[in-house]
Amino acid sequence: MDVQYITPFLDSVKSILQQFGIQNVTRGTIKKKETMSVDKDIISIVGLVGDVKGNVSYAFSEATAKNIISSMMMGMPVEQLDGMARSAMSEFANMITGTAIGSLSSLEAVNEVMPSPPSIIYGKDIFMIISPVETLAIELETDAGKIEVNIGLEM
Amino acid sequence: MNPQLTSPFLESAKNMINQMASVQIQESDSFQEQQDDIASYGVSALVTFAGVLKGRLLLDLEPSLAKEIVQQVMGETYDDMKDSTFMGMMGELSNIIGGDALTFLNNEQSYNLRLASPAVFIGKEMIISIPKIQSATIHCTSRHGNMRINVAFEKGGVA
Amino acid sequence: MKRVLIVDDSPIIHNLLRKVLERNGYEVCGDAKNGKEGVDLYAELKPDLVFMDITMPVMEGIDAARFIKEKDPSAKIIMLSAMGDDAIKEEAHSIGVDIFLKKPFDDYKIVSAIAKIV
Repeated sequence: MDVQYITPFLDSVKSILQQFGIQNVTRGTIKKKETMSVDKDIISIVGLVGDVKGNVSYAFSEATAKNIISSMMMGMPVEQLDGMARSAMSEFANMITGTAIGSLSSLEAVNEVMPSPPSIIYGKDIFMIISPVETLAIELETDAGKIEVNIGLEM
Repeated sequence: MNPQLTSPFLESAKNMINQMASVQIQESDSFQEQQDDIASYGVSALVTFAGVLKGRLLLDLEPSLAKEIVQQVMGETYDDMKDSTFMGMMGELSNIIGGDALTFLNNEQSYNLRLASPAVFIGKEMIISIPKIQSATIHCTSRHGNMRINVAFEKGGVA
Repeated sequence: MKRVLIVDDSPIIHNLLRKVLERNGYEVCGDAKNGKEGVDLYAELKPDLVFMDITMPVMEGIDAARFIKEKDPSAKIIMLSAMGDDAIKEEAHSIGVDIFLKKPFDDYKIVSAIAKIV
């Protein structure tokens, strides 16, 4: 997978978090995985079709999600992931994807990328695979907590 | 949502699961608009598709039914649902059911729909939320457990 | 024994198809997980028959089948896909694909298809 397709997704997380006042976002290790598997409480996943095909997911713990949602809502404390919190989480996913697609479209080989609406999965010990595309997993350390970005693109 | 868009997914699910695993599933209601988030039965397979229309198929199964299907197809029992073969088989199931339904829709309406890679989730107390898209759900039963089929089309399936 | 190359991005399909082929007296001589690998392995292994999926990363099955047929017009290719609408079938036919099967499959479907072309 070419790095030019990966950077936009990492950069967009950073820029969206910074919009909400979460300033420090550093990139951890990049791991290659056979399948896109994560063990986290919340996963937001977006499918892409067009000139960039595949799936991108963002996964975090419940605590990290609450921190992010709280920042999105001007510091309002978030006790539980109720309907409003989930709606904020969806918005977060939409914003990241929209920004990433904006940068992807500036690549020469990319004329059209269509995102499918994000699906957000909440629960305990969620295990996910995106078969059968090889996946890159990138850990982001942020002031709100760890975010694991999984990118499985068919290119 | 237009039943012409949803009913092929039910027919394909019934036919493919029967062909692949000799398991009969039977709908217990009709497709209803999905208003809220979905509380998962435990095993979910999700596959998106795009062409003239964009949409998504979600199959949500009780672990007992998922295990029966995988066992029938693979000829082996999997106690650990995190096994990559188990989860891969659930992905393949959604691929085959989705592919069959899209084949029908493409032939009827020239939608030129193509499938993306399936994603499979397992977990406890999972809630699946698909914001900003219209979807409809139908519930099904079988001797081995329940499942639901949720079909979403952007803009309600209007090209 | 006839030698078969399987081209599919799903390890599950490789596993299931291999079982069907082996218990019916065929040898699986190669496993490719996308169209490009399929084209390369075809040139290397010269199998008697290819089972080719359509939707795959890197290179799709229709393109792979076209490349193989261009280099070896006598190549025997059976498409095996979850999709099987008229437009895709026509495209496969136009590049000289012999048989188009839709998933799922069982022994009868596979064996009778092979009998038609080998």
